[in-house]
Amino acid sequence: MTATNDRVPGAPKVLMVDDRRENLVALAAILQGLPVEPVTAASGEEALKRLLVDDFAVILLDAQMPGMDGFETAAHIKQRERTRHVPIIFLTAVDRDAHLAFRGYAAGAVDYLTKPFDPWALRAKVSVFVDLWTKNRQLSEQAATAARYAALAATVEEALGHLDQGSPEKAAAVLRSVG
Amino acid sequence: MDSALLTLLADALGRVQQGDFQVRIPQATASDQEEEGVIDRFNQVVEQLGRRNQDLIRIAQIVGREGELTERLPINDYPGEWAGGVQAVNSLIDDLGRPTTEIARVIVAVADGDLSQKMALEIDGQPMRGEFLRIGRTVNTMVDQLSSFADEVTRVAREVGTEGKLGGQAKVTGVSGTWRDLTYNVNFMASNLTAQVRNIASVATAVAKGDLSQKITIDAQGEILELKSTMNTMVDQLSSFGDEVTRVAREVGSEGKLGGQAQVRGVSGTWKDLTENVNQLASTLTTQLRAIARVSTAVTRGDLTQRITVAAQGEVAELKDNINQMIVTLRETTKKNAEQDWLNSNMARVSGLLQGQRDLNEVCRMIMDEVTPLVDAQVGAFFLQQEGQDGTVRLRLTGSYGYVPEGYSVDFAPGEGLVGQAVAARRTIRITQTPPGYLTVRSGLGSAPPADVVVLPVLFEGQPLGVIEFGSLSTFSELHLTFLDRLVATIGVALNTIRANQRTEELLSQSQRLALELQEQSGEMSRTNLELEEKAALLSEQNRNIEIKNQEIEMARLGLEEKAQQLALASQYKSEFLANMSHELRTPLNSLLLLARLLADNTERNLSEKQIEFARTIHNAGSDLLSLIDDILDLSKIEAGRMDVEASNVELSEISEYVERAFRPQAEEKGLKLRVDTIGETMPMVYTDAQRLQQILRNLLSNAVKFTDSGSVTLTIGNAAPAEPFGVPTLDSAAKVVAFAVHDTGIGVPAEKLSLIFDEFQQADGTTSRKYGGTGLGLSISRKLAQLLGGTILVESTLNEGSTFTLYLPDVLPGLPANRPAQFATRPAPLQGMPVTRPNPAILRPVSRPEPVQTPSTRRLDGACVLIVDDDVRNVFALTSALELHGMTVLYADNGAEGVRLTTEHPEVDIVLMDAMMPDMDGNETTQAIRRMPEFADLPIVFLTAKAMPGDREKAIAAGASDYITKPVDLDDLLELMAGWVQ
Repeated sequence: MTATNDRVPGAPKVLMVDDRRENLVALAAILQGLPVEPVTAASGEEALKRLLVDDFAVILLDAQMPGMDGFETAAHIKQRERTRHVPIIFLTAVDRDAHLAFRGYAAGAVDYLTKPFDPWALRAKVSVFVDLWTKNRQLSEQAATAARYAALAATVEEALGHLDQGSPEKAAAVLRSVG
Repeated sequence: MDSALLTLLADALGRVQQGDFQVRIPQATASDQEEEGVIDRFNQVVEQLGRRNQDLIRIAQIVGREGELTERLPINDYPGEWAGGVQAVNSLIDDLGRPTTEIARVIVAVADGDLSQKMALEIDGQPMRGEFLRIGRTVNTMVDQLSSFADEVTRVAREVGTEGKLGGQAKVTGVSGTWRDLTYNVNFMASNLTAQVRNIASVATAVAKGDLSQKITIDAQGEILELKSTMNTMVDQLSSFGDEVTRVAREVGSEGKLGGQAQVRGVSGTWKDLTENVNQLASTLTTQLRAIARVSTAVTRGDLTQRITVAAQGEVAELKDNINQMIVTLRETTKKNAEQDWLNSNMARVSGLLQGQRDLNEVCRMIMDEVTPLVDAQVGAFFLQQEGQDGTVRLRLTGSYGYVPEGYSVDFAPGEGLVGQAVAARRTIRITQTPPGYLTVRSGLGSAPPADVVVLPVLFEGQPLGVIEFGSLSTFSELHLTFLDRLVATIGVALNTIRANQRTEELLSQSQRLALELQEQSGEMSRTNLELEEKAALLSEQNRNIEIKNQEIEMARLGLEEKAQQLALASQYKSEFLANMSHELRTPLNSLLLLARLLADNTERNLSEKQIEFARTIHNAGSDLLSLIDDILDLSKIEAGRMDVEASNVELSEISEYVERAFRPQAEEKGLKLRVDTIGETMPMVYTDAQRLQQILRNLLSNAVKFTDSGSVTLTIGNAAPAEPFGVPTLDSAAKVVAFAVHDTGIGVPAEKLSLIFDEFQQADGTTSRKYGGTGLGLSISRKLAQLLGGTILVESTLNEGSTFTLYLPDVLPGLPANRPAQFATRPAPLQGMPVTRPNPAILRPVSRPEPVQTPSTRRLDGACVLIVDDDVRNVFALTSALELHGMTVLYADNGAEGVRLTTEHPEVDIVLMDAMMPDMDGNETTQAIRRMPEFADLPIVFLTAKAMPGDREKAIAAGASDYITKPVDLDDLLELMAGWVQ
């Protein structure tokens, strides 16, 4: 879990999983300049550990890894309610086996890039998913605000009802309960 | 006391001293009372002395002289010192007296004849000494000698006199004088008697045993002498008589000298009668024996006419009769033996003559010649039975002796005449009284009729073989007739044998003839056989050669198969190696390319032109390397037969679009025209592997673009001319063939290189690669891929004008059923490598219902914060998913230290799930660390453990665990348990 030096506080996090350090460096270089906090994991297990303690906007997952490979890692991720909607982009050097790509998609990948890939393409894809995540976040925040307002309105309504029935104590109690 | 008295006393004592016990001192001399007393005492003493002296004298006299040894001194009369003296005297008497008494006792016993008594040499325990001892020993010696002498004499007398044991001698030792003489005489008498009696006894014993040569030789006198001479005379006469009788008996009985007479002189009485009787016996025996001997001698010499005529009685008469009878019997037996001998020897002779004969006529003649004179016959004829041509049997004269034919036929049928009759009746016919003129025996000087004629049939096993007839002037003896009877049997055997031999010989010659013929035939056959065998051998040789060839071929085939397998294996290894290698090479290359590309793009705008150029060069070289690796990987895959073909329906319009999209920029960059044409009514799609097809076209087009500097590159897609022969079965048999022709106006390929450009690492010119780059693998891979798709690539080229590479593909990929393409397009790829089982047991049992079910426990847990401390992230992840579904917030620590840290940082944690086994700091230690902090004394900590070893639970509880559950955990159980701990 090496964070890059241009870490953006509070920025969406991108989880990069590869057993090769140089690949992680390259991925970090590609994402340089994007408003994200890249988080690296050197194995599937470490990726799962990261996921247990953090939320991520997108996951870049190397398919070929010793031990728990990308497919298994993806399967675990997809089984967990909290992480199943995190978009996964598979990165693999093995491009000629068509069924590998299929496996990637079957494991829940939103995209499947074979190396060597165009860094700008990857950068663009990540950027899209990060935007999406940010939008989602904002949406859910707005939804929460709306719900809060709705609740508040309902409470005021209830208080008004109590007032109408001539029981200001009850109205005051209801209003107090929401602070 | 006055001196007078003293003088008196002195005087008196002087006399006493000199032995005068008569001295007395008169009382009167006493002057006073005192002196009177002295005198009185003195006188008493002297008187006492005198009396005691007398006593001694008396006792000496009684003991010494009178021999009264019992006398003793009266001891009572002697007081004081005197008593000792008296005791001594009495003791002396005792000592002297006792030996004397002993000696007397012994001597008295000897005198009474008791020689067993002896003197005791000690008395009252005191051994005798001195003279007494000597006397004692002498007396004992004397008694011993006497006793010994008496014993010996008594023994000798008893042995010699009473028991008759002669030779006994008295042995008395240590005697001398008269005793010795006496002993000597006794011995002499005993030995004398012994010698005489033994002599007489030995002579008498010898006579009794028959030895008459012994005489009594011992000197004797008196009556013994007389006895001796009588005995000797008797022995002489007995000896003489014995000698004579023995001689006669030996001469007559043993030596056979008859006529001997015993001459015994001077005998009379019984002896004389005895002698005469012996002589009588000898003479009678002599007479009879001589008579018998004479006759026996005659018989021995063969004279059996003698008879024993001597008069005899009893057994001798019986003997005589027996011998006479024996002589008679012997005579008869001898005669019979002679006849039998004659018979046997002549039978043997004739039989011998018959042996080995083969000619019947010769046999008949021989029999006539030999047998006729043997039986004293003068005429003989032999008729042999012969079978005629007509099957009739005739008896024909085949041999004769002394016979003169009478002028008529001499052969008979069976039953004709006596000859025929003999055959018919199978028995001998004899004529003893022949009439005159019946038969004549002729000699040169005269003739006479035979007296006896015998006709004998010759039979063998009852079958007649012929007839023999003999005539004789005298009568045939029984012997001769017997001989003839037996002879004809022998002749029968011989004739039969000859006939059988003849038949055998005939058969033999016949069989020999046949054998000869057979031999000739078999010679021919064996020649044929030989030829056949040669041919067979030739064939088998060829067969064997073929077999050997076959074996060699089989061996070679096996070797080839093995090689092929090895090759396949090696090839597989190679391609696997290459595949791995390529992957390993590509992996670092990928990041290299990425980074180089980033640098070359210079997004930061902080690189110089040169640096950008370097980065670009790195990127280009890396790209080339990557494509080379890809090519090598493809090539090796194709060669190993591991290139998979994924067929699907491919729209040709898509291909056109792809080509346009991929190559137009490149072409335009080089100033080339790119055109994609579809000619004719091309079918809209082909069923093949789109990826491979693209790969081939990519290769061909990139080559075309690469090697063309000006002009155009054209891809023409259309159906191939139907009549075009490809020489590729899959194309020739395909319903339709699609042609993809790539035409360029480039440098072209010289005609002589056209065959090389498809080989690996071959380009038309060695300089080509330097000028245009590329590996030279592209065409090679393309052609192989085309073959894989059931097609081929053909090329036409003109140097410096351009080339046309045409890819021909069948409309349907061969080897796949044409009706299945649609299914292939949507075939699901097999899912492999999905997480299934792992060495560690899963934390959770497989959950049958994925949807969380609301229970009171889960409601209680909703919103709870759970800290999981476990190093196995797979299981934690699954568990976390499950717990999150129930509304719980999960914190995670993958080791004990992190667990402790999180616990302290997150006071909101309601419950901790602790893995028992973790590296470094295990569950127990972690729990202890948490419990050491007072604020977490009551924090529920539930242990999860893979396997419950005995004692694990106790250890966990001791470490501070609140509860304990075993993996794999049933989620419901876990939730229930957790709910129990969460407030």
